[in-house]
Amino acid sequence: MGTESRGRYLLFALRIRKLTDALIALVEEGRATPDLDEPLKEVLASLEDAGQPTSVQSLRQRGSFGHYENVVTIDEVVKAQDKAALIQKLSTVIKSNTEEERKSSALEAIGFFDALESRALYHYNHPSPTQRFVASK
Amino acid sequence: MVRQESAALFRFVDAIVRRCAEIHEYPVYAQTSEIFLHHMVVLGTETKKFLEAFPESAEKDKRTANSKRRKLQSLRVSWEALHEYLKPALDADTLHIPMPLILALQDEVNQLEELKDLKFTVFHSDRVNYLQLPPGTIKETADLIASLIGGTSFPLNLGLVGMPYSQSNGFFLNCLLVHEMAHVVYQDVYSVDVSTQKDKVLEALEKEIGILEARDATIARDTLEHWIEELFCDLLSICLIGPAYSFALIELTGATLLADSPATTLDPFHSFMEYHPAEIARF
Repeated sequence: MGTESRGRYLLFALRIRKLTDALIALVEEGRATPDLDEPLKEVLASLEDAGQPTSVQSLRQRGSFGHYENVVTIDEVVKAQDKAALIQKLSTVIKSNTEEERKSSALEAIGFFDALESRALYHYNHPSPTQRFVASK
Repeated sequence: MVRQESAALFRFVDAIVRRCAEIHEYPVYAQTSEIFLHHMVVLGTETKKFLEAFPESAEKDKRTANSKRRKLQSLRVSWEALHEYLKPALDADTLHIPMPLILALQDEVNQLEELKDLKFTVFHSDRVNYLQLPPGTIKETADLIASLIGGTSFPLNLGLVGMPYSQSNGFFLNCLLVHEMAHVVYQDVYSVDVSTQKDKVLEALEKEIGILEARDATIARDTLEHWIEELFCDLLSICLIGPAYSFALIELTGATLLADSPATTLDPFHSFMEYHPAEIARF
Protein backbone atom coordinates (compact mmCIF):
# COMPACT_ATOMS: atom_id res chain seq x y z
CA MET A 1 0.00 0.00 0.00
CA GLY A 2 1.40 3.39 -0.98
CA THR A 3 1.71 6.39 1.29
CA GLU A 4 -1.19 8.05 -0.49
CA SER A 5 -3.56 5.15 0.00
CA ARG A 6 -2.57 4.91 3.64
CA GLY A 7 -3.18 8.62 4.05
CA ARG A 8 -6.61 8.29 2.53
CA TYR A 9 -7.61 5.80 5.21
CA LEU A 10 -6.61 8.32 7.83
CA LEU A 11 -8.56 11.09 6.10
CA PHE A 12 -11.57 8.80 5.85
CA ALA A 13 -11.38 8.02 9.57
CA LEU A 14 -11.19 11.72 10.43
CA ARG A 15 -14.08 12.66 8.15
CA ILE A 16 -16.17 9.92 9.72
CA ARG A 17 -15.20 11.23 13.16
CA LYS A 18 -16.33 14.70 12.14
CA LEU A 19 -19.65 13.23 11.11
CA THR A 20 -19.89 11.27 14.38
CA ASP A 21 -19.28 14.47 16.32
CA ALA A 22 -22.18 16.04 14.44
CA LEU A 23 -24.40 13.06 15.31
CA ILE A 24 -23.38 13.32 18.96
CA ALA A 25 -24.28 17.01 18.97
CA LEU A 26 -27.68 16.05 17.57
CA VAL A 27 -28.23 13.36 20.21
CA GLU A 28 -27.05 15.39 23.18
CA GLU A 29 -28.19 18.88 22.31
CA GLY A 30 -30.76 18.38 19.56
CA ARG A 31 -28.55 20.62 17.45
CA ALA A 32 -28.09 19.86 13.75
CA THR A 33 -24.70 21.23 12.70
CA PRO A 34 -23.81 22.17 9.11
CA ASP A 35 -21.40 19.20 9.12
CA LEU A 36 -24.25 16.70 9.29
CA ASP A 37 -26.59 16.51 6.31
CA GLU A 38 -24.28 16.66 3.29
CA PRO A 39 -21.70 14.11 4.51
CA LEU A 40 -24.50 11.88 5.73
CA LYS A 41 -26.06 11.92 2.25
CA GLU A 42 -22.66 11.00 0.80
CA VAL A 43 -22.31 8.04 3.15
CA LEU A 44 -25.89 7.05 2.40
CA ALA A 45 -25.11 7.06 -1.34
CA SER A 46 -22.09 4.83 -0.62
CA LEU A 47 -24.20 2.42 1.41
CA GLU A 48 -26.97 2.15 -1.14
CA ASP A 49 -24.48 1.02 -3.79
CA ALA A 50 -22.37 -1.18 -1.56
CA GLY A 51 -21.56 -4.49 -3.23
CA GLN A 52 -23.27 -3.51 -6.49
CA PRO A 53 -22.24 -2.08 -9.84
CA THR A 54 -21.70 1.63 -9.34
CA SER A 55 -21.97 4.36 -11.92
CA VAL A 56 -19.57 7.28 -12.22
CA GLN A 57 -22.44 9.60 -11.39
CA SER A 58 -23.03 7.68 -8.18
CA LEU A 59 -19.36 7.94 -7.24
CA ARG A 60 -19.55 11.69 -7.78
CA GLN A 61 -22.54 11.88 -5.42
CA ARG A 62 -20.39 10.32 -2.72
CA GLY A 63 -18.15 13.39 -2.74
CA SER A 64 -15.06 12.89 -0.61
CA PHE A 65 -16.30 9.37 0.23
CA GLY A 66 -16.03 8.23 -3.38
CA HIS A 67 -12.54 6.73 -3.21
CA TYR A 68 -11.48 3.09 -3.26
CA GLU A 69 -10.39 3.09 0.38
CA ASN A 70 -13.88 4.20 1.45
CA VAL A 71 -15.57 1.48 -0.58
CA VAL A 72 -13.29 -1.16 0.93
CA THR A 73 -13.91 0.03 4.47
CA ILE A 74 -17.67 0.25 4.07
CA ASP A 75 -17.80 -3.20 2.44
CA GLU A 76 -15.86 -4.65 5.36
CA VAL A 77 -17.99 -3.07 8.05
CA VAL A 78 -21.50 -3.39 6.65
CA LYS A 79 -23.00 -6.83 6.69
CA ALA A 80 -25.39 -7.45 3.81
CA GLN A 81 -28.25 -8.36 6.13
CA ASP A 82 -27.86 -5.12 8.12
CA LYS A 83 -27.61 -2.79 5.16
CA ALA A 84 -31.29 -2.02 4.69
CA ALA A 85 -31.81 -1.24 8.39
CA LEU A 86 -28.77 1.02 8.40
CA ILE A 87 -29.96 2.91 5.33
CA GLN A 88 -33.31 3.34 7.04
CA LYS A 89 -31.66 4.79 10.16
CA LEU A 90 -29.52 7.26 8.24
CA SER A 91 -32.45 8.31 6.10
CA THR A 92 -34.44 8.99 9.25
CA VAL A 93 -31.67 11.21 10.60
CA ILE A 94 -31.80 13.25 7.40
CA LYS A 95 -35.51 13.32 6.70
CA SER A 96 -37.53 12.77 9.86
CA ASN A 97 -39.67 15.65 11.02
CA THR A 98 -39.78 14.64 14.66
CA GLU A 99 -36.76 15.52 16.78
CA GLU A 100 -37.06 12.42 18.97
CA GLU A 101 -37.01 10.12 15.98
CA ARG A 102 -33.97 11.90 14.56
CA LYS A 103 -32.17 11.67 17.88
CA SER A 104 -32.84 7.99 18.42
CA SER A 105 -31.81 7.09 14.86
CA ALA A 106 -28.66 9.21 15.23
CA LEU A 107 -27.80 7.41 18.46
CA GLU A 108 -28.18 4.03 16.77
CA ALA A 109 -26.10 5.18 13.77
CA ILE A 110 -23.18 6.27 15.95
CA GLY A 111 -22.13 2.64 16.50
CA PHE A 112 -21.86 2.12 12.75
CA PHE A 113 -19.70 5.20 12.31
CA ASP A 114 -17.48 4.16 15.21
CA ALA A 115 -16.93 0.82 13.46
CA LEU A 116 -16.06 2.60 10.19
CA GLU A 117 -13.60 4.89 11.94
CA SER A 118 -11.90 1.99 13.72
CA ARG A 119 -11.63 -0.06 10.54
CA ALA A 120 -10.14 2.85 8.59
CA LEU A 121 -7.59 3.44 11.35
CA TYR A 122 -6.77 -0.28 11.27
CA HIS A 123 -5.94 -0.02 7.56
CA TYR A 124 -3.87 3.09 8.22
CA ASN A 125 -1.91 1.33 10.95
CA HIS A 126 -1.59 -1.99 9.11
CA PRO A 127 -0.85 -1.13 5.50
CA SER A 128 -1.04 -3.98 3.04
CA PRO A 129 2.42 -4.78 1.67
CA THR A 130 1.24 -5.03 -1.91
CA GLN A 131 0.04 -2.46 -4.40
CA ARG A 132 -3.52 -3.19 -5.43
CA PHE A 133 -2.80 -2.19 -8.99
CA VAL A 134 0.50 -2.49 -10.80
CA ALA A 135 0.78 -3.46 -14.41
CA SER A 136 3.25 -3.51 -17.23
CA LYS A 137 3.19 -3.48 -20.96
CA MET B 1 -9.57 6.09 32.06
CA VAL B 2 -10.56 8.97 29.78
CA ARG B 3 -8.58 11.35 31.95
CA GLN B 4 -5.51 9.18 31.71
CA GLU B 5 -5.85 8.85 27.92
CA SER B 6 -6.36 12.60 27.54
CA ALA B 7 -3.33 13.29 29.69
CA ALA B 8 -1.16 10.90 27.65
CA LEU B 9 -2.14 12.58 24.39
CA PHE B 10 -1.66 16.00 26.01
CA ARG B 11 1.94 15.09 26.88
CA PHE B 12 2.61 13.79 23.37
CA VAL B 13 1.29 16.94 21.70
CA ASP B 14 3.02 19.15 24.25
CA ALA B 15 6.40 17.67 23.31
CA ILE B 16 5.73 18.47 19.64
CA VAL B 17 4.65 22.00 20.44
CA ARG B 18 7.79 22.61 22.50
CA ARG B 19 10.01 21.25 19.74
CA CYS B 20 8.41 23.52 17.11
CA ALA B 21 8.53 26.52 19.41
CA GLU B 22 12.24 26.10 20.13
CA ILE B 23 13.34 28.04 17.09
CA HIS B 24 15.71 30.83 17.85
CA GLU B 25 18.41 32.60 15.83
CA TYR B 26 20.09 29.46 14.56
CA PRO B 27 19.37 27.54 12.42
CA VAL B 28 17.66 30.02 10.17
CA TYR B 29 14.43 28.98 8.46
CA ALA B 30 12.69 30.35 5.41
CA GLN B 31 9.70 32.50 6.26
CA THR B 32 7.36 29.85 4.86
CA SER B 33 8.90 27.18 7.10
CA GLU B 34 8.38 29.48 10.07
CA ILE B 35 4.73 29.91 9.09
CA PHE B 36 4.33 26.14 8.94
CA LEU B 37 6.09 25.50 12.25
CA HIS B 38 4.15 28.32 13.89
CA HIS B 39 0.93 26.73 12.71
CA MET B 40 1.96 23.47 14.35
CA VAL B 41 2.47 25.39 17.60
CA VAL B 42 -0.96 27.01 17.29
CA LEU B 43 -2.73 23.75 16.43
CA GLY B 44 -0.89 21.90 19.17
CA THR B 45 -1.79 24.52 21.74
CA GLU B 46 -5.43 24.37 20.67
CA THR B 47 -5.36 20.57 20.88
CA LYS B 48 -4.00 20.76 24.42
CA LYS B 49 -6.75 23.17 25.40
CA PHE B 50 -9.32 20.81 23.90
CA LEU B 51 -7.84 17.88 25.82
CA GLU B 52 -7.97 19.77 29.11
CA ALA B 53 -11.73 20.08 28.77
CA PHE B 54 -12.27 16.71 27.11
CA PRO B 55 -12.75 14.37 30.12
CA GLU B 56 -15.59 16.45 31.48
CA SER B 57 -17.38 16.66 28.12
CA ALA B 58 -16.81 12.94 27.46
CA GLU B 59 -18.49 11.96 30.70
CA LYS B 60 -21.47 14.27 30.20
CA ASP B 61 -23.69 11.70 28.47
CA LYS B 62 -23.21 7.98 29.07
CA ARG B 63 -24.92 7.06 25.78
CA THR B 64 -22.18 8.72 23.73
CA ALA B 65 -19.22 8.41 26.11
CA ASN B 66 -17.71 5.39 24.40
CA SER B 67 -17.82 6.97 20.97
CA LYS B 68 -16.26 10.17 22.27
CA ARG B 69 -13.45 8.21 23.78
CA ARG B 70 -12.62 6.81 20.34
CA LYS B 71 -12.03 10.35 19.19
CA LEU B 72 -8.88 10.42 21.29
CA GLN B 73 -7.52 7.52 19.27
CA SER B 74 -8.14 9.32 15.98
CA LEU B 75 -6.54 12.48 17.31
CA ARG B 76 -3.52 10.53 18.50
CA VAL B 77 -3.04 8.79 15.15
CA SER B 78 -3.42 12.14 13.37
CA TRP B 79 -0.80 13.81 15.51
CA GLU B 80 1.50 10.84 14.96
CA ALA B 81 1.04 11.40 11.21
CA LEU B 82 1.99 15.07 11.57
CA HIS B 83 4.90 14.08 13.77
CA GLU B 84 6.44 12.12 10.87
CA TYR B 85 6.84 15.33 8.90
CA LEU B 86 8.02 17.69 11.59
CA LYS B 87 11.59 16.45 11.77
CA PRO B 88 11.99 16.67 7.96
CA ALA B 89 10.63 20.22 8.14
CA LEU B 90 12.94 21.11 11.02
CA ASP B 91 15.91 19.69 9.14
CA ALA B 92 15.20 21.86 6.12
CA ASP B 93 16.80 25.08 7.33
CA THR B 94 18.14 27.62 4.87
CA LEU B 95 21.60 26.00 4.82
CA HIS B 96 20.09 22.72 3.67
CA ILE B 97 17.64 23.74 0.97
CA PRO B 98 18.32 25.51 -2.37
CA MET B 99 16.58 28.69 -1.28
CA PRO B 100 17.43 30.87 -4.32
CA LEU B 101 16.18 28.18 -6.71
CA ILE B 102 13.00 27.69 -4.70
CA LEU B 103 12.31 31.42 -4.77
CA ALA B 104 13.02 31.58 -8.50
CA LEU B 105 10.59 28.73 -9.17
CA GLN B 106 8.05 30.28 -6.85
CA ASP B 107 8.32 33.57 -8.79
CA GLU B 108 7.55 31.67 -11.99
CA VAL B 109 4.45 30.10 -10.43
CA ASN B 110 3.36 33.44 -8.97
CA GLN B 111 3.19 34.98 -12.44
CA LEU B 112 -0.13 33.19 -12.93
CA GLU B 113 -2.83 35.56 -11.68
CA GLU B 114 -4.72 33.04 -9.55
CA LEU B 115 -1.47 31.83 -7.97
CA LYS B 116 0.18 35.11 -7.20
CA ASP B 117 0.04 34.59 -3.45
CA LEU B 118 1.09 30.93 -3.38
CA LYS B 119 4.23 30.21 -1.32
CA PHE B 120 6.12 27.00 -0.77
CA THR B 121 7.82 25.48 2.19
CA VAL B 122 10.29 22.64 1.72
CA PHE B 123 10.91 19.62 3.90
CA HIS B 124 13.53 16.91 3.60
CA SER B 125 12.83 13.35 2.56
CA ASP B 126 14.97 10.27 3.05
CA ARG B 127 13.64 8.94 -0.25
CA VAL B 128 15.69 9.70 -3.36
CA ASN B 129 12.74 11.38 -4.93
CA TYR B 130 10.94 14.66 -4.91
CA LEU B 131 7.48 14.64 -3.54
CA GLN B 132 4.53 16.79 -2.93
CA LEU B 133 2.97 15.71 0.30
CA PRO B 134 0.27 13.23 -0.57
CA PRO B 135 -3.26 13.86 0.53
CA GLY B 136 -3.84 12.79 4.07
CA THR B 137 -0.52 13.89 5.43
CA ILE B 138 -0.13 17.41 6.63
CA LYS B 139 -2.52 19.92 5.17
CA GLU B 140 -5.76 17.95 5.16
CA THR B 141 -4.91 16.08 8.34
CA ALA B 142 -4.13 19.34 10.12
CA ASP B 143 -7.38 20.87 8.89
CA LEU B 144 -9.41 17.86 10.01
CA ILE B 145 -7.75 17.95 13.43
CA ALA B 146 -8.65 21.64 13.56
CA SER B 147 -12.27 20.91 12.71
CA LEU B 148 -12.45 18.20 15.41
CA ILE B 149 -11.12 20.44 18.15
CA GLY B 150 -12.49 23.79 16.97
CA GLY B 151 -9.01 24.99 16.00
CA THR B 152 -7.34 27.15 13.37
CA SER B 153 -7.23 26.10 9.70
CA PHE B 154 -3.98 25.55 7.82
CA PRO B 155 -2.56 28.76 6.32
CA LEU B 156 -4.01 29.49 2.91
CA ASN B 157 -1.62 29.59 -0.02
CA LEU B 158 1.07 27.52 1.63
CA GLY B 159 2.22 24.52 -0.37
CA LEU B 160 4.46 21.77 1.00
CA VAL B 161 7.07 20.07 -1.16
CA GLY B 162 9.77 17.55 -0.31
CA MET B 163 13.25 16.96 -1.63
CA PRO B 164 16.00 14.40 -0.88
CA TYR B 165 17.95 15.61 2.14
CA SER B 166 21.30 15.11 0.38
CA GLN B 167 20.58 17.17 -2.73
CA SER B 168 20.48 20.75 -1.50
CA ASN B 169 23.48 21.59 -3.68
CA GLY B 170 22.32 19.66 -6.75
CA PHE B 171 21.04 22.46 -8.93
CA PHE B 172 20.11 20.40 -11.95
CA LEU B 173 18.19 17.68 -10.16
CA ASN B 174 16.42 20.24 -8.03
CA CYS B 175 14.64 21.48 -11.14
CA LEU B 176 12.25 18.64 -10.32
CA LEU B 177 10.92 20.73 -7.45
CA VAL B 178 8.79 22.59 -9.98
CA HIS B 179 6.82 19.38 -10.63
CA GLU B 180 5.99 19.12 -6.93
CA MET B 181 4.99 22.76 -6.87
CA ALA B 182 2.71 22.01 -9.82
CA HIS B 183 0.87 19.44 -7.66
CA VAL B 184 -0.03 22.22 -5.26
CA VAL B 185 -1.18 24.36 -8.20
CA TYR B 186 -3.30 21.51 -9.51
CA GLN B 187 -4.88 20.69 -6.19
CA ASP B 188 -5.54 24.29 -5.20
CA VAL B 189 -6.80 25.60 -8.53
CA TYR B 190 -7.53 23.09 -11.25
CA SER B 191 -8.59 19.83 -9.63
CA VAL B 192 -12.33 20.60 -9.52
CA ASP B 193 -12.48 21.53 -13.22
CA VAL B 194 -10.40 18.56 -14.25
CA SER B 195 -12.42 16.25 -12.05
CA THR B 196 -15.61 17.27 -13.88
CA GLN B 197 -13.97 16.65 -17.27
CA LYS B 198 -12.59 13.34 -16.06
CA ASP B 199 -16.04 12.14 -15.01
CA LYS B 200 -17.42 13.08 -18.44
CA VAL B 201 -14.77 10.90 -20.05
CA LEU B 202 -15.57 8.01 -17.73
CA GLU B 203 -19.32 8.38 -18.29
CA ALA B 204 -18.76 8.20 -22.04
CA LEU B 205 -16.70 5.07 -21.50
CA GLU B 206 -19.38 3.66 -19.23
CA LYS B 207 -21.89 3.84 -22.08
CA GLU B 208 -19.66 1.60 -24.14
CA ILE B 209 -18.49 -0.97 -21.59
CA GLY B 210 -21.26 -0.83 -19.00
CA ILE B 211 -21.27 0.01 -15.29
CA LEU B 212 -18.43 -1.45 -13.24
CA GLU B 213 -18.44 -3.00 -9.77
CA ALA B 214 -17.88 -0.39 -7.06
CA ARG B 215 -14.25 -1.32 -6.33
CA ASP B 216 -13.30 -1.42 -10.01
CA ALA B 217 -15.10 1.84 -10.68
CA THR B 218 -13.27 3.64 -7.87
CA ILE B 219 -9.92 2.23 -8.96
CA ALA B 220 -10.53 3.42 -12.53
CA ARG B 221 -11.65 6.85 -11.38
CA ASP B 222 -8.87 7.33 -8.82
CA THR B 223 -6.24 6.10 -11.28
CA LEU B 224 -7.35 8.42 -14.04
CA GLU B 225 -7.36 11.30 -11.59
CA HIS B 226 -3.78 10.56 -10.51
CA TRP B 227 -2.47 10.12 -14.01
CA ILE B 228 -4.08 13.33 -15.22
CA GLU B 229 -2.56 15.16 -12.28
CA GLU B 230 0.91 13.73 -12.92
CA LEU B 231 0.81 14.61 -16.60
CA PHE B 232 -0.57 18.07 -15.82
CA CYS B 233 2.38 18.61 -13.47
CA ASP B 234 4.88 17.45 -16.09
CA LEU B 235 3.39 19.76 -18.69
CA LEU B 236 3.20 22.76 -16.37
CA SER B 237 6.83 22.12 -15.34
CA ILE B 238 7.93 22.19 -18.97
CA CYS B 239 5.90 25.37 -19.54
CA LEU B 240 7.60 27.02 -16.57
CA ILE B 241 11.24 25.97 -16.93
CA GLY B 242 11.49 24.31 -20.33
CA PRO B 243 13.60 21.27 -21.18
CA ALA B 244 15.58 21.59 -17.94
CA TYR B 245 12.67 19.75 -16.37
CA SER B 246 12.73 16.87 -18.85
CA PHE B 247 16.47 16.46 -18.50
CA ALA B 248 16.22 16.44 -14.72
CA LEU B 249 13.52 13.77 -14.88
CA ILE B 250 15.67 11.72 -17.23
CA GLU B 251 18.48 11.97 -14.70
CA LEU B 252 16.28 10.96 -11.77
CA THR B 253 14.66 8.00 -13.49
CA GLY B 254 17.82 6.81 -15.27
CA ALA B 255 15.64 6.84 -18.36
CA THR B 256 18.48 6.55 -20.86
CA LEU B 257 19.60 3.33 -19.21
CA LEU B 258 16.11 1.88 -18.88
CA ALA B 259 15.06 2.76 -22.41
CA ASP B 260 17.77 0.48 -23.77
CA SER B 261 16.78 -2.54 -21.71
CA PRO B 262 15.29 -5.56 -23.53
CA ALA B 263 11.62 -5.15 -24.37
CA THR B 264 10.70 -8.35 -22.56
CA THR B 265 12.03 -7.08 -19.24
CA LEU B 266 9.45 -5.59 -16.96
CA ASP B 267 11.18 -2.53 -15.66
CA PRO B 268 10.03 0.61 -13.91
CA PHE B 269 10.30 2.57 -17.10
CA HIS B 270 7.45 0.64 -18.69
CA SER B 271 5.40 -0.43 -15.68
CA PHE B 272 2.60 1.74 -14.43
CA MET B 273 0.67 1.91 -11.24
CA GLU B 274 -2.25 3.71 -9.75
CA TYR B 275 -0.42 6.80 -8.64
CA HIS B 276 1.88 7.21 -11.64
CA PRO B 277 1.65 6.56 -15.34
CA ALA B 278 4.58 4.62 -16.78
CA GLU B 279 7.72 6.75 -16.90
CA ILE B 280 7.83 6.30 -20.67
CA ALA B 281 4.52 8.11 -20.97
CA ARG B 282 5.99 11.14 -19.28
CA PHE B 283 8.58 12.08 -21.88
